[in-house]
Amino acid sequence: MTSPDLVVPAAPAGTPTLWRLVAYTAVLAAAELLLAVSVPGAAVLLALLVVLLRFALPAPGAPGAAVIPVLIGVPVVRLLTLAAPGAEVPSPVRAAGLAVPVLLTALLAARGRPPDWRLLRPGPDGWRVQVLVALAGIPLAVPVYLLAGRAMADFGGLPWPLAAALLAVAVIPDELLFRGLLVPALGAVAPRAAVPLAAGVYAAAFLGYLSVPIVAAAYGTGFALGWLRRRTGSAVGVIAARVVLIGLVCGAASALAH
Amino acid sequence: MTPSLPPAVRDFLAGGDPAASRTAGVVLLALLLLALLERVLMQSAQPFPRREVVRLLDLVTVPLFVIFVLVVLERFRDLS
Repeated sequence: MTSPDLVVPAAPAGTPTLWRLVAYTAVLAAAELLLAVSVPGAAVLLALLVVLLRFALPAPGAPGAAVIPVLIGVPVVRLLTLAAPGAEVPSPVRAAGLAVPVLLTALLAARGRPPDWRLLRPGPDGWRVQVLVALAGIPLAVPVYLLAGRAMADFGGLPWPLAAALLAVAVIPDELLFRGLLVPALGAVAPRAAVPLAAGVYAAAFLGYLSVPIVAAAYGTGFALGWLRRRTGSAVGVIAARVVLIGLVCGAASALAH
Repeated sequence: MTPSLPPAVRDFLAGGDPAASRTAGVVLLALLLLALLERVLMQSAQPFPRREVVRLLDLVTVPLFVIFVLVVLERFRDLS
């Protein structure tokens, strides 16, 4: 006979659990893979995911109540990327232009966050640690260049410093969403799986490239920066690390191309 | 690296198939209208909806509206 104490109560409908987060990541990955076959199909799947998540909002104060807005933010951002005009302009210009709506999404997703999800304030260890985290962009740039340098060297005819500056603008809202908010949000539901899951969500956004090295580079970058964000308790350092990484990889790609 | 559009998809949208980008725009518009409609219906209902739900709807409508305006402006530019 089973003791009543040993019966694990089922999670209320909508409460995020580890398996629901894995399913969420799988649907995102499916939408990105579908992008290679059918753009409208991918857009429909992303929109369906937003609608499903809308009805998954738990009661106020329930564990994970702050998680759903962040989870909705990711498919919304991907939908924006897909539907935004300007597919014919150089890729860095389009990415920088998208920074405004993506930043809006990240800020709106951050409105109900708990106070310990620090974004632009330094963590408990202060600014010195954030500067050290920014320097992590230097060693990270080497594998990213080796694995995905060719994909990042698409400057669309722009001089590389301008392309790097535009991409640096684009990565700030990206980092706020994928590391600043997603890592602590997933950590609130599944503390041990937060970093690998957040890296998986980030890498899923690159599946449309249909390139294992690019997805591996994205996963590695997401994992390393996610771990640093979780460890230091702030997003400032990882944003700076991404800016450093973008500058180095663009510079190296341009130098070696000439 | 930024999770932008893969080059193949970008080329496809830019030159190959305007219907595909139009369909993505229609999906965006449908989602935007759904969220706006729900917000209007909720605000007309009593009692006033939960703040979290309103915030969630804002999260969907505001960025999608920005992109929708850009899409409309692009269509006008194409027409001219």
